[in-house]
Amino acid sequence: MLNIAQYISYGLGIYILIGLLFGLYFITLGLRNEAIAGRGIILRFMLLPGAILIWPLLLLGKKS
Amino acid sequence: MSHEFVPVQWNRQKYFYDAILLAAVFLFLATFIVSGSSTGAGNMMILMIRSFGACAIVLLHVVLAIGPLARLSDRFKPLLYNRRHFGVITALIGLVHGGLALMMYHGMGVINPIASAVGGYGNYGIPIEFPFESLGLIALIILLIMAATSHDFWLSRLSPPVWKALHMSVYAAYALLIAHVALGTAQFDKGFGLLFAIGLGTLILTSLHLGALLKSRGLDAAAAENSDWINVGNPLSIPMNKAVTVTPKSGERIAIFRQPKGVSAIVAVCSHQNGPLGEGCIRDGLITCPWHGFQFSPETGAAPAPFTDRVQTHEVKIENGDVWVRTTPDPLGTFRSTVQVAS
Repeated sequence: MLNIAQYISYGLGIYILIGLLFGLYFITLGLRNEAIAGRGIILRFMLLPGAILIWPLLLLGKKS
Repeated sequence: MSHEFVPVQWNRQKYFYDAILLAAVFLFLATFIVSGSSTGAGNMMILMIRSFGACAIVLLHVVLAIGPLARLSDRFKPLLYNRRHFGVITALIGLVHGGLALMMYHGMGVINPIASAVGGYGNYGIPIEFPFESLGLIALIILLIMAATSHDFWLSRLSPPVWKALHMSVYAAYALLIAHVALGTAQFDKGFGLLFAIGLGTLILTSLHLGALLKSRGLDAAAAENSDWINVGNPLSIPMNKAVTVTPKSGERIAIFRQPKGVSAIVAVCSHQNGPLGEGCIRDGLITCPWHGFQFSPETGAAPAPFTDRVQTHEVKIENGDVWVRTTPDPLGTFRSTVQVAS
């Protein structure tokens, strides 16, 4: 069981790491064509945790 | 106003709301820790872990109670409009609880703390030895995802159906947390006080949700009488300058508003970000969305010039003293005169 738990924790770590890289891209370059473009840096950083956690959804292009 | 995302502006009420919320949280934590240390319930670290955990579970109960309470009584609607603040604080308090527990019980070994919490002890096949921390961890991940995507930007970006589906997972998180607390109590505390409190909380929440559902069903029951028209009841039962909302068998919910000059109906979903127009009010003669203040004419569903937002209207009639609303919405921009109510 411990081996499986370690794989899960590594998986979580990798997921968050990819999310962090994607999130940084998203709040800097990825929002250029959004209505939010040009708004304050605080608002962009408020969006960073969301981008980190749901990056697969964003990559799939779930845009309204 | 426009269909695009517009950030919500902070105002005095929101600051006041958050100040009270934070003060209540600090008061809860301080009371828990002081009373625990005076009775010798554990060292400071254990008291902090327990206080943050208890605070998170209490806040989650409040968050889940706000929705049905607002449907049962208008007095609770101000809580509904800022419910996301409750949710974010709940997730952050839960994160502190989880972080402290990982440090205290799993942070000193050679195995990484998350792996240790998920698989380092216990037995998944035996309830009394079940590693209950794994349930709390999954619930915490759900709450953090919800908190991180609670900003209106994500509602607009993900689309309302996807966002809503994502945020309905709060009920899964709640079930996991109840199991987490129950198993933790059974394995370590051996006391029934906390189990009783959790059971009572779950009972109250379930009752509130059932009560709200029955109230909603009562309003919607008339829909069965005539498929194209819904009987809304006595017009005077609709609060002045406010609305009641009914749900047709198919299509969007309908908000029926009453103002001094009569009753009118529009689709209860704001064209801006799907806000609950039926929970709004008439202000300056215009239907005003409670979320961002977008306004629409009760007669045409159109926003005042120069804005171009529109929602659909519904035909309304009064028969035998009751208000009836047609379930089929009008084409966008259709003018419907306000129907006068005999006082």
